[in-house]
Amino acid sequence: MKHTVTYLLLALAVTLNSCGTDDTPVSHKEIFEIRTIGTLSTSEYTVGKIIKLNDVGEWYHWGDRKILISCKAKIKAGVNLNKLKADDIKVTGKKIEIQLPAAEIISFEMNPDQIKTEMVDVSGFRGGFSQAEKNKILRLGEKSIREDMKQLDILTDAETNAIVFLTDFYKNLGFEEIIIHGTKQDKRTKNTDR
Amino acid sequence: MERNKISELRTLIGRLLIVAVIVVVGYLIYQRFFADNSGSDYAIEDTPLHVEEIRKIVELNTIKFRDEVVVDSLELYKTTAEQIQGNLEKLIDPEQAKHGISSSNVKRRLTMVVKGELLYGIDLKRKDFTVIPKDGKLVISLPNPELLSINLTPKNTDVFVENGTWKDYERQLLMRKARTKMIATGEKLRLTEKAKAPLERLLKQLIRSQVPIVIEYY
Repeated sequence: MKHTVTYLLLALAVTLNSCGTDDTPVSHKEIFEIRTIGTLSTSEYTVGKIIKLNDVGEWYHWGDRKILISCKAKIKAGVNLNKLKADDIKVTGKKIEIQLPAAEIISFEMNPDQIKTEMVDVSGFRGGFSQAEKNKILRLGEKSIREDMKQLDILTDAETNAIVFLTDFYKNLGFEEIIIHGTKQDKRTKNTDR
Repeated sequence: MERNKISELRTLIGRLLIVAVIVVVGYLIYQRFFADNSGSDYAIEDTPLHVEEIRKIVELNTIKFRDEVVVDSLELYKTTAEQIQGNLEKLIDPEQAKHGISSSNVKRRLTMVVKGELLYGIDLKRKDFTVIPKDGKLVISLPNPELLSINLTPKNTDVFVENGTWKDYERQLLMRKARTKMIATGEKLRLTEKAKAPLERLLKQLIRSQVPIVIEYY
């Protein structure tokens, strides 16, 4: 009887309140920025990571939640040719000498189609992971990938490949002696936030 | 007199206890139903990064296009009865109670704000370029600029509204929709054409030739 009364009251409240709508379509205003750049991407790494999270319950949230998400990231690195200053290229007859700018991360992509929830385990009175929560977990995964990237040889590879490409490029242009200087590792940017 | 004081003290302690119980119960209800416990203090375990593929590429990027789009998926209740029943069910579920309380006609809604970065330029690994001296000019033949990278990341993705339960594939569908919208905007802005001028400037800066440079696209 008590339950029936409670449900009736709830139903009444819901009915009275049912005039409320929040189904307005979202605005499709375009916000964009176009920038002219001059980057040469020369190395691409595809990396994978398993994001592991154990969400232990609080005193007001009895139970644990565990999730494993696998994801992939595609990172491109290269050199920013717009950073070449006038005196970085010296031409003497058929000889050219170039001081290359430091290699850097050009792009970082985590393809949503390559993100997969491998396992979810929920115990006690806990609910499953919402999409907003999964996105927050993925952000932590992205941060972790960007940190781990610092241990990869991607920037060294990018610089080596850039030197190979530019050597061929200038050979095609008819230069006989091509000297390209790279940048010392300690002078490279530590910023992986692209 | 003394008895009166003891009685007042007891009443005061009793009232304070009642207030304390109300505060604790209120806090519990707030934490259970209304607090944002959606991962602000999560800490993931340290797992190794696996390098799956390393590729040599040669991509000359000359336009960076940053776009922000809103993608939305919306399902409405078809009848009032369905709306009442649906909202009652939401009220019972602690995760969905806040959506049920407004008793709207929205059955499920997922709205995301996605920021992306698109790079346009030429791919010199897949397509060759040639440099031919001709009639006192340097003729450089290049492939037409194209879209080379679409960078979407969780950091630049926000789940703005999540009403109801949503599966991973449904979120992925929305992300694909966001991607398609960005590509469409890039096409509308004719960015592949706009990538040509900075490309030509860049090549001229690199070549430093006394002879005139002519750039052709194929």
